[in-house]
Amino acid sequence: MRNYVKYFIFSAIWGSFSIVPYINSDEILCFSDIINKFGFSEFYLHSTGLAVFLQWYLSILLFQVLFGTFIYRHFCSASVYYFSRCERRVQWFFKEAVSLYPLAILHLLIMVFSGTFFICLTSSVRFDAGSFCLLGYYLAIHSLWLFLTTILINIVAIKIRSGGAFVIVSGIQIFLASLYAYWGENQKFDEIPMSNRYANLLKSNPLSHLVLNWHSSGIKSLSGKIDIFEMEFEFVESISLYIILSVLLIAIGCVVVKRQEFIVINIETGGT
Amino acid sequence: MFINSIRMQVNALVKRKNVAAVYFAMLILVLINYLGNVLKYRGSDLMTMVHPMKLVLLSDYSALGFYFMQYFPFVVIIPAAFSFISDKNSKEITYIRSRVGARNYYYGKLIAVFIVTFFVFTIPLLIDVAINCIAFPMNATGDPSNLRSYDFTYIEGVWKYLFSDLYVFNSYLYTIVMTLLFGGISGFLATFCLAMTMFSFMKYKIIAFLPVYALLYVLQIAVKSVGHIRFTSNYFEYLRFYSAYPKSEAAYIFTAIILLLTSVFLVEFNSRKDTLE
Repeated sequence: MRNYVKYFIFSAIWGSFSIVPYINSDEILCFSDIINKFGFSEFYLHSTGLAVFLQWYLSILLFQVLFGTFIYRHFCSASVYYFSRCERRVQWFFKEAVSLYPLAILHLLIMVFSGTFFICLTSSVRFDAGSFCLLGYYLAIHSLWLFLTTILINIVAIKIRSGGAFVIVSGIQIFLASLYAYWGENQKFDEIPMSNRYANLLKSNPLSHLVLNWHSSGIKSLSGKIDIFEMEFEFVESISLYIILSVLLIAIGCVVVKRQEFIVINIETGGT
Repeated sequence: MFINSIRMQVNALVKRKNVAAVYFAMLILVLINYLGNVLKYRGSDLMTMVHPMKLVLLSDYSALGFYFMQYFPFVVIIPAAFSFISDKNSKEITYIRSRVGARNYYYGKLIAVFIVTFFVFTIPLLIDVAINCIAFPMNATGDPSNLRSYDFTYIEGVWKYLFSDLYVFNSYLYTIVMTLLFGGISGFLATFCLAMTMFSFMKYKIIAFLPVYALLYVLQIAVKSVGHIRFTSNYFEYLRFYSAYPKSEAAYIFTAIILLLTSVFLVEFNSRKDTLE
């Protein structure tokens, strides 16, 4: 765990850097606006908006790359020694997976607060009503996504090495993001309020749950900050979906780890 | 000895599955794009036919090319940029270094990675240019945007192309040069990634995916942060042809040179390090 703490320097650097274009000393920025920026609010449903989406997605890829070996590394060095002393491998995997979750939250918190701190150096930030509520939703949704995708990379890496695992998982994510470019050509997605059919199509893409301002909420302090499409899209829906997917992945991971042959000393190098 | 080192490493690289996989993936993309164009424009009149060079995979008008560019920061490093990590993991590095010397090994690796990446991307794209020239009438002048060639908006867009003077001089030569430049930039990005993997913290292949992706998006944010800059820094607009977004040729060349110098500097730094492991 201690080895991974140094990686949060990258979170702080990226958090500060990504907010640089919004530094304007004349303007007072709301804290909820900063959270919304990290929550992909800049993204618009069009092919040209995809570059914006992928730019902000770097914060997620950063975590996936840095922590994509969090569990897998145990299969890369001294695995025989390590696992011969670890009889309950399913429990071990569960414990390792659970310990990844706080790191995901820490990554997001460091990014948001380093970005906010950076803005505070040049201009003012107003902590408006509802901003902490939005922060809570941001942390809950994004941390679960970070958690489940990183666990997926670790599980796939155990089978096919880290490079291949990342190519597959990030390939799927970019494919899902590319769907927005395709959908963006359809003007039905521009209608406000969005019809149920198109809203459901949008929600069927797991990445849509990451975009905070597409969600709706009954909380009054959040009005005007989210719900740009005026569709039924509760935060709880996104959190529930990601929790279900995470539980499923942990179950799959338990099976994979239990069946994995640890006599191969180093998966990354093919056993040498 | 240096030439020997390059030859040895190029030979070793082209035998890797990654190189063949990306090369054939590029060929398949070119083929799908070509077949799509054939089906779309079959039976078209010459007056309505689009200029064949505007139908290539990397044309701004190609939807497939657009989706390919999403994956580009990852695809560009797959053929050869992992080779240093692979050499280190398989201990091949000890064998080659003892045969050709450390400096020859590191610089040979840099050049070998550039050559292999350049050809993996350039050959399929040049085939694309050739088959478009064969299949579609070369005297067609149409534009996929349906703007006529004397339309003011079209002319304004043409002047925003990267190296637009060359396009005005000869559009076929322009496409070939831009294809070679695309291969060159791919090579530079792969060598940059290779140079980064020479640091000891780059233990796993997964981490090698970060430098190029981060570099391309950091450039995007950096230019966006400077208010008075009026050109885009989105790599899509520079690497694809016929994009009508405002661009800076000087910034493009400067970035390529900086990328090359950074790679050479990092390789020099790592080649001077103690080789005892």
